[in-house]
This record gives sequence, C-alpha cells and structure tokens, in this order.
Amino acid sequence: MKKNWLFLALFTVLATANVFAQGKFFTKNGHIDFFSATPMENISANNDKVVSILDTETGKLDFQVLIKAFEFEKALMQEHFNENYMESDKFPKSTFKGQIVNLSDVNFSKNGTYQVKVSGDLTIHGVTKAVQAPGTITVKDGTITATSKFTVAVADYNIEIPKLVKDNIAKNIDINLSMNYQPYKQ
Amino acid sequence: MKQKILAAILLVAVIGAYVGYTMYNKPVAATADKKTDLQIEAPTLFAEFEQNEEAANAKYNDKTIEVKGILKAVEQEGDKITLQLQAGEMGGISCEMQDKSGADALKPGDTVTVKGVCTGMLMDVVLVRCVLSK
Repeated sequence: MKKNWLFLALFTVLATANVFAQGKFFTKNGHIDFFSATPMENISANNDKVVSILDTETGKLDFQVLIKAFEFEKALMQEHFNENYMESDKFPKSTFKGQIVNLSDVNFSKNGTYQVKVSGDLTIHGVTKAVQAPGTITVKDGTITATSKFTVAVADYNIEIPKLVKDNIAKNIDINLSMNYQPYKQ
Repeated sequence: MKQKILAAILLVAVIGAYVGYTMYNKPVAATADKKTDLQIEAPTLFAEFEQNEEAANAKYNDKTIEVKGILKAVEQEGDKITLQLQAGEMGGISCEMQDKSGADALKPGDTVTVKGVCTGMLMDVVLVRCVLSK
C-alpha cells in the first residue's frame, strides 16, 4: 500500500513537470517587422510567416524568414525592396542561427519574464555576420513567448542604396520580433 | 502668347507631379483583382518545392496562384488567419489570408481553393495576401 502512494507521488511529480516548458518549441507564424525612419519618409513592412525553433535545454535558437513575404503598404516600395535592395530572387531567405548566452538565467519551468542575450549568425542578402541582440522571454503555464528589438546596418550586408533615394532610407533599420511558441510535437 | 505657354507648361507639370505622386503611393494590389497565373493542387505544389526548391522558386515566386487542397488547420495569430493545406509528410501549404472573410467558417477536412501570392518555402510553401476562390 505504501508503495502505491510512492508511485502516485512520483507520478504526480512527473505529470506536473510535463506542464512546464521543456524541450523543443516552435512557431510557423512568428512576426517580424522593420522600420526605417528618415526626415524624408518612414518605411515599414510586416512579415507574419517567421519560422522559429527554440530548444529550452540547449538554448539554441533558429529563425527563418522569406524575404518575399514582407508586406508593404506601397507597391513600389515592395518592388524596390525585393528587386533592387534585397534581390530576393537570388537570396530568398534570411536566417539566424544562434544561442541564448545566459540560458541559466531563464527558468523555463517557472512563470516569469526573463531578459536574455542572444548571439549567433545573421544572414541577410547572402552575407553572414556574427551579431548579438537582447531579448525578452516570457514563460506562462507551459507556453513561451519571445520578443526582441535590434538594429541592422544596411551597409553591413552589401545592400546598395542608390544615391537618388539615399535620404529616404535609414542607414540603420529597426527590427522587431515577436514569437508565440508552441511545444514541438514529432 | 508667352503667358499661354507658361500656363501650358505649368499645367503639364502639375499633371505630371500628380501622376507621379499617385504612382508612388499606389497600394499593393488586392489579390482578388489580380489575374490568376496558374492553378495547382496542394500536394503537387509542395512536391515540386521539395524536389527542387530553386526551380520551384523561379517557377512560382511572385506568381498569383490558385491552390486546391484539403484544409488541415485554421490558425489564428493576432488578427491574421492562416489556412494550412495538406500536402506532404513534413509540411504543407501555408496560406496567410488577406482578411477574415469566410475563412473563420471553414473546418479541417473541407476542400478549399485559395488564391494568393507564392513567396517560397520554409517548412511549408508560403502564400501571402490570400483570398478564398469561389
């Protein structure tokens, strides 16, 4: 009889542990937007088709974005972005492969908001650079959301902006990321 | 006479500026108003991307295509609705709807035809600015 209680206690502990966020998490509908602010004009675009995988055990973090899935308000801006600047026929995707640097600061089995540092390789326009960015991870009842704000210098990624429109496009672009992760089922 | 010429030049300049301004601010065309470039079944489209992504990118990206398939799931994230169509083992066709019209009434298992702009493949083949075809 005593043994049964022990089993029950063990089972309860294990069952509870499963509620917490452990293992691999992913989303196919992550959000990214960017914003270019100049005195001439503001340009922004949204993409709600970001694929991201987060491994809570290793802290590995992956993002993939289709350049053509960025949506602009103005048709001409979208055309220039794809054809002239990002050359999305040649470079259809942007990726980030990296790691949460301070993984030990995040307790994925406890509800809370955690500040993280992420470092890794960012590939845009076929150019890969090592980058670091801050982020916020929120754990709530077994689900994980993550946000990040960082800037990207256009010149770092061999993106040429013609002289004519050089005052219309910021040298540093503000990027916003927002992910709602789901447990990854295999 | 000089004044008339000046007035004419001014008029042309104003019209030119107006046309330029309108073209510059032209919004991205609504998918419903665009001509369909081609029609395809969801599993065929996915298989083409899986077999040769580069060739499929060249063939389908930026094209307005109508994809027919069986609905796997209706996903809502914020104010965006995405229809997932069954296609392959690992992935499917992910169709981001332009608005909610009709999409939230659909159920998994329904056969649907979705018209949208193909943007390439990540885990799924991704179509954006989608509308339901009649």
